Amino acid sequence: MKEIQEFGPNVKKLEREVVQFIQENLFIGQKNAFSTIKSYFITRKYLTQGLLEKLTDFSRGTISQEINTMLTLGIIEKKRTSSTGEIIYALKSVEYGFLHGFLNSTKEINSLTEDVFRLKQEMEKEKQKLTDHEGFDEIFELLEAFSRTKPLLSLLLDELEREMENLNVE
Amino acid sequence: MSSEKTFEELVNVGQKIISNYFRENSVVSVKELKQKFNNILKNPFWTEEKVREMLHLLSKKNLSSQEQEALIRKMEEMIDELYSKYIKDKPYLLPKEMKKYEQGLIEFFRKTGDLKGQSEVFSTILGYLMIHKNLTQEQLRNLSNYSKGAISINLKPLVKSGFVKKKLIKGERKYLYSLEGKMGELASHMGLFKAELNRDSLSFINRKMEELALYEGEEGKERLTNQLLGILNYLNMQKKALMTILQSEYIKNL
Repeated sequence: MKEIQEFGPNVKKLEREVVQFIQENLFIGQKNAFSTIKSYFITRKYLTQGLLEKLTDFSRGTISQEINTMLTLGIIEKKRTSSTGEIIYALKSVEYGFLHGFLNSTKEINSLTEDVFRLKQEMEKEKQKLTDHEGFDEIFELLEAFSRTKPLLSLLLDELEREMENLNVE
Repeated sequence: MSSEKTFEELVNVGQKIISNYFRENSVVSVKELKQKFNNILKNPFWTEEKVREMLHLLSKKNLSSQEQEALIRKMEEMIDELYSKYIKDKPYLLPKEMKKYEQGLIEFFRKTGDLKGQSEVFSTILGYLMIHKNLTQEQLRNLSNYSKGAISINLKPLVKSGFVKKKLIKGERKYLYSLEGKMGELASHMGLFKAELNRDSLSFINRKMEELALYEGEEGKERLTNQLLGILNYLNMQKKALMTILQSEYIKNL
């Protein structure tokens, strides 16, 4: 199968619906250019910057920036240079595209909960002085709740790592 | 009805109970308060003095079930009314001693949001709503310094997903955006929401696969079919992970 393919009109229309669905439901809140480009990698697997420009209407600069981010995150890789001199990028696998970023961010979030824990300890020390202030209960409740998410994050990390191991990435 | 006077008497006591609730609790939940009123006769564990007074009146007057129903509806109307007033008067700018902790939490939301690929505005809004529970767009603007447009755009997906509720403030031409419930409820709501989203996504992709099968011979059909199979595979992995988490002791104990 050719790496870079033109899609027929019906397939292209259906692809747009899928991209829109992914963006609105599975990549909720993610930056627009990043999620759009990642969605097209999910539907096409192989892409060049030129083809992405046609599909998304984003500028070369934006596309190049987001491609570099995805390369750094390990979501895509450089496959080869085409006969016209364009670099062909490839998504490692659909599952990897969704899971990889999620796994890395969960690991980082897990370490960020340490900061929250320290903030909570600091607040506990000052409790007597702060307890009557507006917002004390709400903030303390949140700090306590986030400090307690460590076991849940560890559980989630174990589950994700198991899934990643089971993935057959090309 | 026993008498108009008795009804009025009960409404007045109810009004005091509601006012006390809003005054004495720093974290309020309209849903919880309405539930408490609905259960007042069946499960009167509320120990407040005014509640005891109401229960005493209720037992003396022996209301019919229709009359009890009317009283509960009246209480619910009053909760909405007093809640609007409470929101209008509630201070949302925290004292300087608390600012450090508020900013610490917002920084945590921004960093974790950034890791998930979420925009800074989106994460900041979510953070302020988690801290303050209820805010108007104007209040969000004052807290975050983001533009009106940026706030409005980023609130939309939160409202659409059902995570944030949008409600018109009585007597004002403003909407209130709320994250209702306690942390445990929020976590469980998010879990359920994700499970629901996972089901909807599986059904959407399956429908698109069936549709795609009709375009025999069209270019790109085979590639897109393979890619959609990958999405289905991912969604099934997600489903398995969600079930493990939802059934975990941690979530049950929240």
